[in-house]
Amino acid sequence: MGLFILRRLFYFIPMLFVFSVLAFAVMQLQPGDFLSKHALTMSADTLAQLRQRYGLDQAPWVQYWKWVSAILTRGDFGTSFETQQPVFAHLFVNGNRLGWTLLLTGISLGFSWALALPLGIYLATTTYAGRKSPFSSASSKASGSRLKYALHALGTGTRWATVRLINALSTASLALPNFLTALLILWLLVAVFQVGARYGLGISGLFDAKYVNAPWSLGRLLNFLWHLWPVVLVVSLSNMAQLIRYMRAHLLDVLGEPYVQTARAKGLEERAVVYKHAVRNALNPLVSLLGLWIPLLFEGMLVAAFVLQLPVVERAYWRALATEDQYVVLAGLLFFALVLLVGNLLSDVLLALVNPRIRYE
Amino acid sequence: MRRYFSLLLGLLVVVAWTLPLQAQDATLIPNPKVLTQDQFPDGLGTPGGSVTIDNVDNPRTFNPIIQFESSSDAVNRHLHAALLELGSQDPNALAEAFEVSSDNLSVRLILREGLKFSDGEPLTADDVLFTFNDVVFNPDVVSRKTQWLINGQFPTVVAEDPLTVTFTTAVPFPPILTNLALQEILPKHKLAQFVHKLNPDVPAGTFNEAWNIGTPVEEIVGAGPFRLASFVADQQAVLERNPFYWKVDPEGTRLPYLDQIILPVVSDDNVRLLRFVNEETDIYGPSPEDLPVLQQRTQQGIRVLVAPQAGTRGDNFFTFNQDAADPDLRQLFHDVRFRQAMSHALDRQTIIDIFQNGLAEPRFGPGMSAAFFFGVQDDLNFPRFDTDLDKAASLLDDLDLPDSDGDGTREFGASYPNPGKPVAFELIVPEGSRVPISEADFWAQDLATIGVEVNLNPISFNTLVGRVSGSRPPDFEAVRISIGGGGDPNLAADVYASQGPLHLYKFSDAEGTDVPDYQREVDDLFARQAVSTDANERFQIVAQLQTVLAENLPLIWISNGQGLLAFREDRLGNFVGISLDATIVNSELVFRRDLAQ
Repeated sequence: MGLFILRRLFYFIPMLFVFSVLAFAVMQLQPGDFLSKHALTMSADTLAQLRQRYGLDQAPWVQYWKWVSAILTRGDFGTSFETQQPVFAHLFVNGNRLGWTLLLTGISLGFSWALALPLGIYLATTTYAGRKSPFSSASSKASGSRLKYALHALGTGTRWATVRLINALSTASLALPNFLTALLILWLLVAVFQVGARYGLGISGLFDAKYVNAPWSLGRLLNFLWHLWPVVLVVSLSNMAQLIRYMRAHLLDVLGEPYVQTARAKGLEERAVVYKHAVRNALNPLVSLLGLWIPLLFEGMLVAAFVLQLPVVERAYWRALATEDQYVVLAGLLFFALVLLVGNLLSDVLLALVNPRIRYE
Repeated sequence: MRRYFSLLLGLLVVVAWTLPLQAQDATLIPNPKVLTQDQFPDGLGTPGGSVTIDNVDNPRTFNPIIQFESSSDAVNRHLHAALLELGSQDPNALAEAFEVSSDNLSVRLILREGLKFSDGEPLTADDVLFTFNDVVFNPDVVSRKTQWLINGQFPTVVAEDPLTVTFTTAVPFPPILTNLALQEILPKHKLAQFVHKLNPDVPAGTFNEAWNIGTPVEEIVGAGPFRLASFVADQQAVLERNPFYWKVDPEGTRLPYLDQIILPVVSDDNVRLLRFVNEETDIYGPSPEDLPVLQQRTQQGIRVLVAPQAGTRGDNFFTFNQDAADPDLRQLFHDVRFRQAMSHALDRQTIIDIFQNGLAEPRFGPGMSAAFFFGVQDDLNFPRFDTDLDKAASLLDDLDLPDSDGDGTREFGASYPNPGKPVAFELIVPEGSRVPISEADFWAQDLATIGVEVNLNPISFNTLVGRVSGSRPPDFEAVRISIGGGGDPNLAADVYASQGPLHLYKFSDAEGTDVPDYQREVDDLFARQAVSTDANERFQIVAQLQTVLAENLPLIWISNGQGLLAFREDRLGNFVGISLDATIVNSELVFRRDLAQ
């Protein structure tokens, strides 16, 4: 396994190289000289120096080489023309952007999986009309008791309502664009619940103003949690709907397999059949999806960051796109490429952990 | 008269009584600026508390010389002070007195004794000389120096002693007092190291990178009411009171009243409105369409100020780049008939009614604030090229722009370099604010009906500024933008004079070749008004200037919006004015009402 991970890490090098060439080519396709857009705030000398430093007056491959060699030899990702800061500091270090991105994305990832998997399992194992539920061993009608029948009807009705509710919510979350969900949450908090007027609570950002510069304390932690939940909801909601559907579909597939029948036939409890035999196998395709999932979360964070005003890498990247801050955009693209690669590696490793048949030796 | 006399006497007694008190405050200078009672509309305040105002973006720089956008200004405006100040009866600021020589060629200013920057270092004539001779007039530094150019020359600035500075010009230059009020004095002890001519170790132009947003906050000092306490990117900037500030209220209380100004970074219009309604922020610059929401909430202590209380905004306009790279468009944009047609196709009143809730005046010529400045009604009889689509279409017909293929869009005729090419241009608009985009879209639809295709492109404001003025020739075809008004009409030379740094409609005029006749007349009028010492004569020249511009439409003026500002009246006292970007102007006077109770 260790060797496998090492080998995969080694593959990152050519992959990142290809990514960097692609990213650079895309930037070159943009019309105009990006430095001229900043001429208003820089003197002619500064501009000339920057042009020379990045070889902007030279052929694209020379520019590319200067950029890449500066990264490899000095860890220098260039300068943000907007803020006159080194790109690495601007995009990742200032305001602890990378730290917040990883923390928020991690929490959202955990939340979406922790909620989506049980819901998917519930949807797959729950039937509410006509068909036999895997959890009820006998049909109530057969028992003939009116009370039992009524209870069963009530149970079926509740299940029917729950299933419909989950379906409706997941469809809605899939259909609603992230930014609208974010705005809706903020609007509900302000206009309906009046959290500011009633409880003095703020909206958007990660903290109320008084806690931004304060040292960590219980109050700050609680305030952070208050600001955290809309972020987690917005980032995970749309992806979660998909995850629920995947989980349900795969589990239904697996539940129809002969070995599940065998497990039931040998008298295993239904719970054990589902969780020990069926779910573990249904998870395999989902785990391999994780590689794609992580970039999706970063994409969700991009929108959340913009509406919810989060101090994350995505927001700085977004602004760099809008202001055509070339070296920041390039560093951002490389970062997202790395996220994709790490996500894939992670999903391969996890796959081996959950599936004993997979070994990378 | 007797009453005034006794009042004055009473005031003197109060001042005399507070003097020993002030002496105890070791950091207060011997002769602070004592504000008069009438400058406090809600009475004197109680020190303490804070005000929270959302800033539209991270500041780009803490360097006030190179700032060109409101997100930096929202922070920097509170950190610095100038020699003189506008808008109060006593124009003295860092200078305790000034005199203009009888020949109108020089201004001599005496600085207050014992002035200190916010880090406690003394502020002397040396800092004034540094600010002007080494920074503002320095060719290496990107600054608003054109307003200081008089026939191509800067004033000479010399110091007689550490407290006396004299500005001398070759010809009388009335705008100099306004200019002095707009130029913050910078600390030489912090910034000299970044100026190549004082520190040859650094390359020329280093100053433009000084005081960037990564600079430690202790390095950023000024003589304004507040100083920078902290800045966290994407979260907030916090300003704290400057303990060395040089103004006191009539009772001798050191200003500012507020302990802090908190400026969270919130870059979305909707979220800023929600946060204001949620009582998180105290001040909000609404769009006209937010008014119904806010006016419902007046009982919650929200008050909306509308011009003229809130001051007037500058001009909003469309303009064409007469140096555009496309030869056909360039030829077209040069023709005044085309610009007249564009003005005829613009339904200003409907735009104001729909998108600005009627809260604006249609504009047919430049504002320039001349009326405000000279104290007369600004009802100049500009030539008006008002809404008339038929007129617009017939003007376009005259310009050899037939719709030869009958697809509804005109093509360039044989008199253009590329006959047969559709008449289309890209219109860039600042994204993020709704009104400009709606206006541009509305105009584009009307233009489509007369066969002109507009490609509307909303881009970030900073990118837009870069494309419009970042290179020569600039990289745009048409733009919708606003330029703030206020102050001396001479400031409008930035835009309309050939040499102006914001002469965005035809930067090539600066080269002096191919300058249209009307532009030569404009330049001549600007030069004349700048040296005219007779206010009436100057007003006449400015009026003529405005008429020439209105006839030739280098800009397609849209409207002069009224300033709008919402604030929490239950919390803030002495809150009187705003600027274009809806932030506090008189931050040293504002106090928290809830603390006083």
